Amino acid sequence: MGPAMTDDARPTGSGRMPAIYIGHGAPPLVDDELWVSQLAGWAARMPRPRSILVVSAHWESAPLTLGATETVPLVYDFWGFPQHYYETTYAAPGAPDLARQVTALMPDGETVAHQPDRGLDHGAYVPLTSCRSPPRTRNACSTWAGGSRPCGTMAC
Amino acid sequence: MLIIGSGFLTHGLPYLQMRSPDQPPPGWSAEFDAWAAQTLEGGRLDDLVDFTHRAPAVRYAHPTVEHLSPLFVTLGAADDPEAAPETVIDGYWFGLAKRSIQVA
Repeated sequence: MGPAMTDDARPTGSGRMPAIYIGHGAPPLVDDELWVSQLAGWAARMPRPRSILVVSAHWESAPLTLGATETVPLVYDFWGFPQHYYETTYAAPGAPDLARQVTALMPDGETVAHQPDRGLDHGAYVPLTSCRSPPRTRNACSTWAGGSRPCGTMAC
Repeated sequence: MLIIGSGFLTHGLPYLQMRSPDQPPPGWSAEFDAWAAQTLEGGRLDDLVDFTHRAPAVRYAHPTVEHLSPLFVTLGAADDPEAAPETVIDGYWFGLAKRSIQVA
């Protein structure tokens, strides 16, 4: 969530960073004033992170895979929504150092794959864009072990 | 670094008729959400991890587990895994539980 607003004056990395679990809704979340205000308020109360690691429900792979570690287009992994939801952009800087750190922290024998050109899916970018966070924070996106499968029409 | 587990606390899409963002939650969504809230508040990690057997309505709330699984990454990142997380957002959206938490 990082720098919550363009006038965010907090120094990067100040204060203790929590870990969070969020419902990411669906692309129309960005039009829900209440939920957007809740996310923005939450982000504003956090220290400003240097980097963000998102574990998204919408990217299942085996082995564990790290993506979006460079600036790449978003993945519009949903179907049947109005066109403007497919025009969202979010040019997050990648975090290759964070990807290397995560890889090093995994247990011995746990394979980690890297797919740096795999963009952030809607599980990752909907909450990040909904709290109006300008993409100055570096992102890596990891995945769940399991079979890869597409989202349904009403992907949430 | 900020760790975000991104999912949805209830996600029974096959059993949901989506009408409006403020529609009342179906019983399975409200029941699972209430159980999760109480279990998180009590720091009962063993119950949470065994949610497939111990949670009410789990078959409907999570017919697949990928939207709940990121919760365990978040809880695992806590300094004290048994400390009660703070619920920052709750309520429902199209009947699905928005409950979102943070741990120190």
